Amino acid sequence: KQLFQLSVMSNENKVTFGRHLRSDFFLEDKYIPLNHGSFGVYPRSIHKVLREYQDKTEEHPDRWNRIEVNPLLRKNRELIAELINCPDASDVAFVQNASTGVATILRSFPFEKGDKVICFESTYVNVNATLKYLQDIGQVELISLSLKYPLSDGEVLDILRATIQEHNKEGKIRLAVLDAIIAQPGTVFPYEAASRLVQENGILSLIDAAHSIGQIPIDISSFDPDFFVSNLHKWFFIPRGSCILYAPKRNQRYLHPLTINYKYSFEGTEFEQEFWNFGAHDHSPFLCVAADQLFPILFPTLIFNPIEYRKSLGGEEAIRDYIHNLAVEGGNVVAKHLGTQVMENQDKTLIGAMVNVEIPLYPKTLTDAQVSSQFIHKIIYEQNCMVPAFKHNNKWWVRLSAQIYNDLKDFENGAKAIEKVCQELSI
Amino acid sequence: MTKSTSFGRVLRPEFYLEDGYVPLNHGSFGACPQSIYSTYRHYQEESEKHPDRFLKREVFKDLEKNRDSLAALVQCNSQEVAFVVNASYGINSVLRSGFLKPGDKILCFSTAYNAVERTMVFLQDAHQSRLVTVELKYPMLDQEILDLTRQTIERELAKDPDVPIRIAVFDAISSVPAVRFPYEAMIKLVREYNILSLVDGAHAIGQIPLNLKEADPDFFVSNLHKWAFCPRGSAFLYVPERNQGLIHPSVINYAYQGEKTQNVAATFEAEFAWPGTVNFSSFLCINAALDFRKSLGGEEIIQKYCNDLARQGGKLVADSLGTEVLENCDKTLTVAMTNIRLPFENKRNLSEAKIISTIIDKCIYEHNTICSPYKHNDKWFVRLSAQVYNDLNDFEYFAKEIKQILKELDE
Repeated sequence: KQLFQLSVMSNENKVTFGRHLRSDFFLEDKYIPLNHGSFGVYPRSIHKVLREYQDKTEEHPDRWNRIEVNPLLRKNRELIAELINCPDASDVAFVQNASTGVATILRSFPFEKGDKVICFESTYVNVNATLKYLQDIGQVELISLSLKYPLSDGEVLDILRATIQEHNKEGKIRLAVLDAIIAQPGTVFPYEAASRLVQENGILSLIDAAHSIGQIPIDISSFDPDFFVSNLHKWFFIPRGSCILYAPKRNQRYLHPLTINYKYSFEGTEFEQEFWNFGAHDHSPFLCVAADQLFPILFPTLIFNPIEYRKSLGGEEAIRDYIHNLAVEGGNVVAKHLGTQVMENQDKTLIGAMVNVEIPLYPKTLTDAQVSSQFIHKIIYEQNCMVPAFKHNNKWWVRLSAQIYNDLKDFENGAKAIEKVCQELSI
Repeated sequence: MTKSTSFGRVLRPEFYLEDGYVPLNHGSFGACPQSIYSTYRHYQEESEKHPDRFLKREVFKDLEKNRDSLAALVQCNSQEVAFVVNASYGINSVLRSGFLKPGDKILCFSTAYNAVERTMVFLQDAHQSRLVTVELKYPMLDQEILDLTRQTIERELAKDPDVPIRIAVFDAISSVPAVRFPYEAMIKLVREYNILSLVDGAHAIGQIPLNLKEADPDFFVSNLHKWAFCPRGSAFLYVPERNQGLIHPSVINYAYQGEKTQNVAATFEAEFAWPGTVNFSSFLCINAALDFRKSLGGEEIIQKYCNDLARQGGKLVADSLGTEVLENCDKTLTVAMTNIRLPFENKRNLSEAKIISTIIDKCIYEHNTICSPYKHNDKWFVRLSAQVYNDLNDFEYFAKEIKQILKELDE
């Protein structure tokens, strides 16, 4: 069975990445996968790790859950902390997903009546919903900024700066929710500069970096955000749902988890303990980061650890370069085929490993919601492909993701699929 | 299809439990049968073949099928059931939704689960809730508990007539001590005073029969991974339609509409359906778990076996130790968990925490068994769970081992 064979080629070989890597994953044969950004996938070898840890939790539930899992959880957090250049793993907590991480911060932060929060129309839909809820119950006042892409980083920062100047005059802007990479459109946001800008004005920075780990380099120490959340299951080949929440010690007193556990302390001095366990759940995804030493004797050529797997392909930088370049080239291929344009600014800073391409979609009778939904249905069930379609700045776009298992042919095939669906929905 | 099955050690191979391990603490973490795990893994693999097709479309059909079976089992409408990762998440969702105003009182009991108790203290600290705690010292009769509660409510109303007791939080089956609580009568009692009822039924499903339509709680949570053989990370929150507009999940999503909500039921369903990207596979194992339980004889037979074994096993251990089982005169406390007093004198004056951790460590690492030790009402107890894979031999074994452990504790 193909389960344990990795088609890893040596570093010197130029063809390290591409569709031959698809067999490292479970992805269906004929499926054209161009939406890694939504849910991620993990390599087959990690599945064995997942199973092994799930078995352990069933062999002796008390010994595992009370004692043995704890040092492993800690070790996995240490590896992630190292990866994002965070000096103390005690400041890194595991949560199920970025929506949970951001909601945790927003719903436990002790806002005072009248506190203002900066957010964007492009802030992730669940985050905006949480912010709206907080506004509805009188905790915060929202200042929502509109970004109409394409914009340069300078333009984005100017908009932010102008907003701060206008609103900080009367009343307090307490916090700003900043994406590292926006979901829709899938664009890279100047989050480090924005974080510094808001902090200079006495505003806390909450970085929703859901898409970041594995797609762009993260250096926590270099820009010192007030709060930082990133999914591991999106771009880092860890099983769903796994995410990290980082808070420097100075801000931990503001935070308590959405599900309070028996370590709760009002002073917030027990961050690591409070966030250690959110009630019974399957720990095994979180244990996949460090997963190793399980089968070295039986299967010496197998790589179970996403970090090691990614190293075997050339390492983080090589992967990021490949997926970025493919996103750029692939976007161009699709735009050329459709006769449209890629969403990019003059400085070429918007594209990470996701690229947005305008699509020739001119619905006559359908609502926007119907269009989005039917687009998904057709692209999945009729074209055996997947890209999300959305409206931005009065145009319809698709967002395409580039991963190590993609190559340009996928984008060519994707373009044809998109074209067909657009034709069918434009009647 | 039912066939007469032998329960006891002969069923252990259906689970993953280690050879030789004498497992007497099903109540803490549950245990998931191997056949259910193959369903779990099937869905985990499915979701990797085409994540979008699965998570944007297919998963919802399968979730609905499993939810329908669950609703039928607990006798309520499917649309009143929301899946949550565990009971604690459900309880936090309800209590922290925002319908509690500063100064509102919460009625609770001293036997609340530790994380639930801490949640209410958090509400006190962060949201100015006021806690009214009813002290319970077991053994108690159901009526004693109800009377004591009524007295407490009346006293509070007399003291602060303008301050509402908004909600009462109580167990269906408490964890420590592990005793059946008269939750059905309590729902009715607190309702007389216009107090909402949040029932922590974490231990309930699979251990006792449930009829939520009849019991009619305002909110009810239960873990499927405790006594219903589902993988860890699966629970449900029951909210009758009349209360659905009051609450929101801890992880608020795109379906939130606040004041603009037109269809309360549809919004409730959509809000709880997607807590961000999670592994839904555990919820997709409900049908497999219920089928497995049917193959063993069905809910009634399983629950009777566990109940009988808990009583017999508890008595066996108590007799062996020369102590007694924690039970009232009406014998309403014991379901599938039994509480046996320990003849422990604490000669070395160890701390409570040290005693608990030492007993657990020795059980696990030196005696190949497990229990849940605790102090209640100035006495030491162990809680033992009876499951389909247990029999009296397990309790006999435990009785011997715990004697040795207690001896070592005092040396």
